[in-house]
Amino acid sequence: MPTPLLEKSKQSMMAAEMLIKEHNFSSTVSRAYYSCFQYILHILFEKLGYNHDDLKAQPRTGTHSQAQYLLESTLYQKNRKDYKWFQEKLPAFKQDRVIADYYGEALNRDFAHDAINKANAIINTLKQYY
Amino acid sequence: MNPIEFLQQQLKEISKSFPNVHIKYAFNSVIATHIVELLPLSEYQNNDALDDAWIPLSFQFRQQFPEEEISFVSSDSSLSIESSTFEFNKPSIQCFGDISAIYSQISQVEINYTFPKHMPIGAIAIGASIDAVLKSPKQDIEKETDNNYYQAAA
Repeated sequence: MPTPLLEKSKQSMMAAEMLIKEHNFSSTVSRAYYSCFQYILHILFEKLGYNHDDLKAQPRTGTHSQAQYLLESTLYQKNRKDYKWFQEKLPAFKQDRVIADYYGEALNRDFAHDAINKANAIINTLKQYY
Repeated sequence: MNPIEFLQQQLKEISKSFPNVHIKYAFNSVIATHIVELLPLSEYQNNDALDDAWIPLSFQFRQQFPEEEISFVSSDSSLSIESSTFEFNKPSIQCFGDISAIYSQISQVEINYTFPKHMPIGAIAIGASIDAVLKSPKQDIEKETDNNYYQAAA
């Protein structure tokens, strides 16, 4: 049975795929990013034994950065090449999401499609180890 | 010591160990993250000793500055740096930039060039008869006033 965050991650991805068909490209990017982030939380809570308090306990700037830091600490030990890839890909994806949500630039289908691909690539990479 | 000073100090040490690696730093304000770019891409992708230098630094930085974010990237990243705050081992000669500058001027001349619509008076058409060639006005050849050098050489 899928856990709540895994289910949310899947639903976010389904929403992203529906939104791109509706030409809602900014929302597509946002949902694709959150699908990825919810999957990271799923790993932290369900596979690595962390809880919400662990995310708040550290003095990092926010939940996203703390989650990224906790995951990277273990990913580095599992595969250094994928750690290198992940520590660049997630911030780059975050930049796409911030631009999509907060900047006035018009986004096209390619940008949105790329976001879905990035989310799937990150999730599939993490699935290998967790 | 603030985060940027710390990074500048640490990256300077790495730059001494890897003199062929161009290191750039900038702060990405969109995602509030310190970006370190390692060039060329082949070094970033394949140099394991370089990994051994920057990966521990990445973790050390985040432990020492828990409120800061950092990412190490190369030229293939959308986070790559256009305008750096500081850099080490910057290549002294930007060969491709110079060549591009030269060729861009030549290209502009070619773009601006237009073929003449009319043949100049006195020009001889290709395939003209010998009579037409003989009737065409003679072209004066300017006499060189300073041909002493040639005469001396002869």
